[in-house]
Amino acid sequence: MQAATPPAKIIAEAADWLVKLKDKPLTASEKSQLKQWCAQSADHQRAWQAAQQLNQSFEQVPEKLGLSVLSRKQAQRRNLIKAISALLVIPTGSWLVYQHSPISSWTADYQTATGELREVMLADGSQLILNTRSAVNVWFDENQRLIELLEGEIQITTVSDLARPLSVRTEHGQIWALGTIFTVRLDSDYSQVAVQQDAVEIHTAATDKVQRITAGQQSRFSEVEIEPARISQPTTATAWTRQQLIVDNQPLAEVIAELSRYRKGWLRCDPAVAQLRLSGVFQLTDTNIALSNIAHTLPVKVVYRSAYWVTVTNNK
Amino acid sequence: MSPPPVETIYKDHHSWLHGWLYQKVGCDQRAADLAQDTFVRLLQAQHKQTNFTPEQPRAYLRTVANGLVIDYFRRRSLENAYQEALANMPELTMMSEEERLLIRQTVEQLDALLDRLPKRVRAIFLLSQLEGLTYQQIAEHEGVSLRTVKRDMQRAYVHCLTLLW
Repeated sequence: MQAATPPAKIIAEAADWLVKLKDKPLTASEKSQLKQWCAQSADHQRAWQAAQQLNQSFEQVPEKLGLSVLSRKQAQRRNLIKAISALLVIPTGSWLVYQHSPISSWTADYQTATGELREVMLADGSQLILNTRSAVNVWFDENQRLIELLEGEIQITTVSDLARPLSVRTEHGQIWALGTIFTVRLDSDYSQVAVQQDAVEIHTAATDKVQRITAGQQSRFSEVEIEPARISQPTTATAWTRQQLIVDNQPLAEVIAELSRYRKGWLRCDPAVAQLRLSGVFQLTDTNIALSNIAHTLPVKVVYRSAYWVTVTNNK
Repeated sequence: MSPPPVETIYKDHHSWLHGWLYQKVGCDQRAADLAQDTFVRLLQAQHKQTNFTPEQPRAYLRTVANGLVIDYFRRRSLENAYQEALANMPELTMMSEEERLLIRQTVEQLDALLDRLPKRVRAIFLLSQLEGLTYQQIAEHEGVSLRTVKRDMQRAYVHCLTLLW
């Protein structure tokens, strides 16, 4: 008789064997132990078959393809699921709007791939720029213009329309535009807004806190809290729209984290050099060049174990 | 007395379900397909268990449909990543259609298999399974102890084997 539900103990033991097998080749005595283990019952055999099937599946996938697809944007998958669940708890007011609006008011998502920069003209003439790895839903009707930022970073240049306020919603809250140019960036724990012209108003999702941010300022907010506004250099905040990264006396780790948004695979900074400080302007069109420039400026080297796995480490 | 046939549930709730799905996926055709799939699941449930009939049809349909929507978004983001990867790997276009299809299906299966793994566990598992790194290399790369690597590997294997059962 085979167990209908997965037998936890047998599976845990099979997993132990797999961990051992990946570590180093089995010795002759381990091999015979494994054989004995498999022979214990039909369930043991079945578990081991599944184990082999799993390893074979991985062997069939070309390494580069597997890495870039299977290790893709965890953030995006999480944000999508969050966005889906967020729709389940839309406040009553907007729920009614969704229900009664004509079907054509929904438009398709806009998305960008890693390293891509995309400009979109919206139906009202507002301009939307999407930075690398970004995704938005745009939803316009006769009462409002709503842009839902699901992932990444955008800049909006709004066209004023008093009858239909424009807002950007993230999982952390909503940003109401008061006729402006501003950027919004979504990170896992907070959203960040920088205003280049006029002003916006931030409303947190969970606590209804409100704060006004004006041109030349920026602020971060979570679903419960809004940080005090700080000074934001417009050229620095919008550098990405010109495919540049402007860095002013920042720790290397932060700069590397920033560059990694623009390239596929893993880009990591060795903790030993993380605190080195750096200033400069980097082109985002080719992060390899940016990395090699960093290696010329600081006592670090860039180690390419593969195109998808790069470490910035000590120069020794 | 037989349970209320699926036809009745279909007639009463199909257009509501279609609208509900439309709000999630924003595409009429896709919403129609997903609504169809949801009812297929209901039929299958009835097939397995003759007297099965959801007490609250809408709650039931919504739960099933929500699972399908999450699955749809996962597949869509996989599709994007896959096409992007393909475009960057001219060597893959040299393969035969069958080979590519096989790889594609395998990648899809693995993606579904790894879906719920925590980020670090997934990363460690992929470094081992795909890049073929040693546990020591992975530990250095991820900045964790050797023991953590082994524990995460064990956890990932348990997760996969349980789903493959």
